[in-house]
Amino acid sequence: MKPTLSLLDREAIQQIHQSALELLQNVGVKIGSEPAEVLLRDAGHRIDAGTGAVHFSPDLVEQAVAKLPPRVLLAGRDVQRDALLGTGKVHTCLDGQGTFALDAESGKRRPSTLADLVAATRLSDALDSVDLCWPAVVPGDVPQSVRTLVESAVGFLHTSRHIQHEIKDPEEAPYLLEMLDILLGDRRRHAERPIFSVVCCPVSPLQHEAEMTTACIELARNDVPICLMPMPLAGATAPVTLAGTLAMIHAEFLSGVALYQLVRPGLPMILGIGATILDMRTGLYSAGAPELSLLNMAMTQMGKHLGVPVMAQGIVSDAKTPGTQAAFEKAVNGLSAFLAGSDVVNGLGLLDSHQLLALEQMVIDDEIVRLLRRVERGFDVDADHLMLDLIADVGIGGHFLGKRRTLEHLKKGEHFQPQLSFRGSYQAWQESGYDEVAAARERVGRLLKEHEVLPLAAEAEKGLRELILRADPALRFDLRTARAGG
Amino acid sequence: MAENEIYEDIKQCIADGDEAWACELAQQGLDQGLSALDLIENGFTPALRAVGDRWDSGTIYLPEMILAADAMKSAMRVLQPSLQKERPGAQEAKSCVVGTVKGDIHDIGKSIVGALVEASGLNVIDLGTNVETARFVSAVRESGACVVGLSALLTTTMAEMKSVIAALEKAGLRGQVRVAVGGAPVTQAFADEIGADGYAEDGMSAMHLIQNLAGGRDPAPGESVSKVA
Repeated sequence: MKPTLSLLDREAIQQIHQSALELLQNVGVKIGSEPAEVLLRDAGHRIDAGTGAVHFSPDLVEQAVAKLPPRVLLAGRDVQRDALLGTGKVHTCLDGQGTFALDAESGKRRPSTLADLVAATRLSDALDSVDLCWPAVVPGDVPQSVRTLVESAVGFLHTSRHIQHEIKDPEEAPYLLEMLDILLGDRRRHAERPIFSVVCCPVSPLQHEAEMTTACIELARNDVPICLMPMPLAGATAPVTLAGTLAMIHAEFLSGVALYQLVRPGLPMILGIGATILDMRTGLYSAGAPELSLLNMAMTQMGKHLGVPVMAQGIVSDAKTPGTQAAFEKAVNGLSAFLAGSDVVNGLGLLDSHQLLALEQMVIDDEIVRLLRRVERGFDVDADHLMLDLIADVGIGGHFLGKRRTLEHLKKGEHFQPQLSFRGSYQAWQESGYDEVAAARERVGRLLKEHEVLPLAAEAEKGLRELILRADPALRFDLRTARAGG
Repeated sequence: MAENEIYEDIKQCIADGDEAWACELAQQGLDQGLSALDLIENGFTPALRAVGDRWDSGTIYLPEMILAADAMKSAMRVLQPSLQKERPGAQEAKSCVVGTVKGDIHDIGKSIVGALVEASGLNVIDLGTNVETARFVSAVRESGACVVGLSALLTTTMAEMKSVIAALEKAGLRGQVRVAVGGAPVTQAFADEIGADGYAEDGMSAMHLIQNLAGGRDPAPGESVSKVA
């Protein structure tokens, strides 16, 4: 028995889908990428010569949707850590591409570095609740031209899980594909074991970035799965109403499906949900808004309707520091995404609307995810679990503590055991001076010191180093330690 | 309509963000013999300032501020010809060029700042998104803008801001124009590093920053408006 949340009825699902098709046909989407436009025009979509907008044929969009694989494998470098989406299991993913980090020593915010990225990746590798790795921060101390490559390589060096990343420039694509040659022996093996996938965010309302799209086409040709993640802000870059925003997300996603299923029919794709509201008192993006939960729940249903796995942003918050606001926002938005059955829920590790890395927050988020998983798992109802025989055996007024079956079920996980919550008595709490954020910080230190990542084969590591040096001969970083001079 | 009555109505039409009514009232004021300058200084300017104060104190929504600024802008268009007749040769309000840098098509942050700066009384020239460096330079040259506001949302495009500053220097315009930068990945340290004159983290502080950078005390008709909020 698993708890499930659903929001839209069948009629609403149809209405949103039809509205999106109508938007795609009548208003269109601007893509700007030449190879994309050639593919779409040849397939029979109409491109307005004046505005450059692609007006999509609804029939062709439906044909593209039919090609979407319902299950998507996001393989780990370690086979044990593969994530197969579309099976009903909820997976988790780090939040990605923040630009700041909370400094462990000063406790203050500063621009993020390669050392932060290495630490975040290693820490995530040590946490059981994480399934997928998105490079958590942008290393500001690495030259921009090689950042995507360096961040991906750091990912493969410091975690054995699947790496999901973004690509901004077509010139980066050949290096990433060469990286796959190095890691897999041959990039053609990627179709079987896709250890790398790409996230691509359309720019609402109704646009794709030209360069990013051209780069993604090149990756799609080489069987790199694509998570297309529209990020409209209700009230600003989308209608203020959540229904209108849903129609927009759905349309933007379908425009990508129509394109990438032409590039590679059957290409594994993921519907990424990056939508939320613009806070109308500050004019800023809000990750902690409850409307984000509603959009996640509804779009997860739309994904199921299309037969495509979804990634929701769930363990997310606007809070600037680990604490009360971070905990309640992440728990509420995380819970709704888990119970809606999103295939992936992301957000671990970052604060301040996806901008700020806090390692202790990643440990707290690990605890939040463990809690959510327990709720999402539900419980069994059968003779063994109803335990009528045991109830009769104990009878009236006895207790169950001394029964072997009590212990057996505890060991099987019937009850959740917290790692960070304090459940002791008030007096014990007072005497210990317990503080959960400090405890999380302590755990960060211990894990970073003790955890060992499944090493890359020496040859592959050497290959990655050489590839990066070729991309930027002036680069002087040791990817293992993140220290200069490597 | 009595003079104080029309000012009351102007206050209300700006608070409501009612463009049509604002234009109607501007015309009505002129028709009954009030000067454009009076209508601006006693009517529209304090009306918009009141809305700005309410947004600053967190009691209204952003669209109320934007609608109010749009209504003000439309009324100004009605008043502009009379204003020129009343004060021939008077300088127009100072100009600010805004745009999202090359390679970046994120619009909303820049547009919010543009609308707020416009509400503060500056003339805003919005170049849109994915703006070539040369277009910033020519827009500054043609408009004589005293501030240029550069926006970028991506870590990959924020470097373009440096190119724009270099191009303004090369064109000999850096002395005339102050540069403000903003966008999620941008920091004060980055602004300092590329030689920008200012950085702001959200729409309201960007508006205050650009007002300060515009500085100066020219007796332009729109100038007193720039004390909004």
